[in-house]
Amino acid sequence: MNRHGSGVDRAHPVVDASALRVNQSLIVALVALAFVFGGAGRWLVLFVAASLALGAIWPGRGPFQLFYRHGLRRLGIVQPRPRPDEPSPHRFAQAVGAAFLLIAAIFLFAGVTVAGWLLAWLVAALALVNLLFGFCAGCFAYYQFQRLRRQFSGGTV
Amino acid sequence: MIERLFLAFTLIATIGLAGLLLQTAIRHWRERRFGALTLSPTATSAPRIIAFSGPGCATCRTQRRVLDAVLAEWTGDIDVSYVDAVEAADLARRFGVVVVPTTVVAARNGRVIGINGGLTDHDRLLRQLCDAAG
Repeated sequence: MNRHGSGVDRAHPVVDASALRVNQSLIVALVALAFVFGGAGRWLVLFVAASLALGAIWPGRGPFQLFYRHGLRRLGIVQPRPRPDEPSPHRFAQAVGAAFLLIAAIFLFAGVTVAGWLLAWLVAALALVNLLFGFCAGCFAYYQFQRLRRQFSGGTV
Repeated sequence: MIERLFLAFTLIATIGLAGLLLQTAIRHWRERRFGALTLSPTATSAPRIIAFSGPGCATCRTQRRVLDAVLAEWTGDIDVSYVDAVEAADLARRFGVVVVPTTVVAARNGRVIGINGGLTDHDRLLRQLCDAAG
């Protein structure tokens, strides 16, 4: 296992599916909790944004990942489920989630609460859809972008 | 706070239910649209796999390795095609490809057994291949 805990070796990367699901569950739960807290919840939105950003920049060292590894997994509450997969799309999704939540937090601190909560719930909704149905919105958007780029560059679609 | 708690639960339940309805609708649409879809039988009448990928798609490389592992286990004949879904847009559209990787598995007679959007695991592919060969 490399020091990021995300693969046996770079030629055959492995991702812990349980870690991903814990990450997604925490996003949904904490955004919902932040919403329940109302005004004070904007700090929780900021915390989630920072956690995702740290996890994207330093894989395996984000608060959610540390909680999973040293808390849930160590206590045997969640079993690791390694599977062949690339870490990079998941890091990208984390980074995008962090960016959206950061913008949401800025809106909330600026008093633009409707836009702030809409953005925060959008991130939570995408995490929930990925958690429940395995649908990767980023993967979908990426492919559609490639198709459109090909179309507008003069290729046939 | 109670109202917001209720609203939060309602939102989560609504998203979950909407997702489930959408998933069911998509599955029915796929069965109607692609249920009778057939490929031209190969010269060897072997099961076929068409693996759609895209440029810069990291997950597609993982799908390729999973596919290689399945093929290494498979003892019979099998016809595998690797297709760039962006370059072969017409073919991708024919199979309703909306995400890459997408893996199409077809039986010996050309009948499409499954169209798997996203990274498909080893066991699922092997199961579909067994159906295709049966």
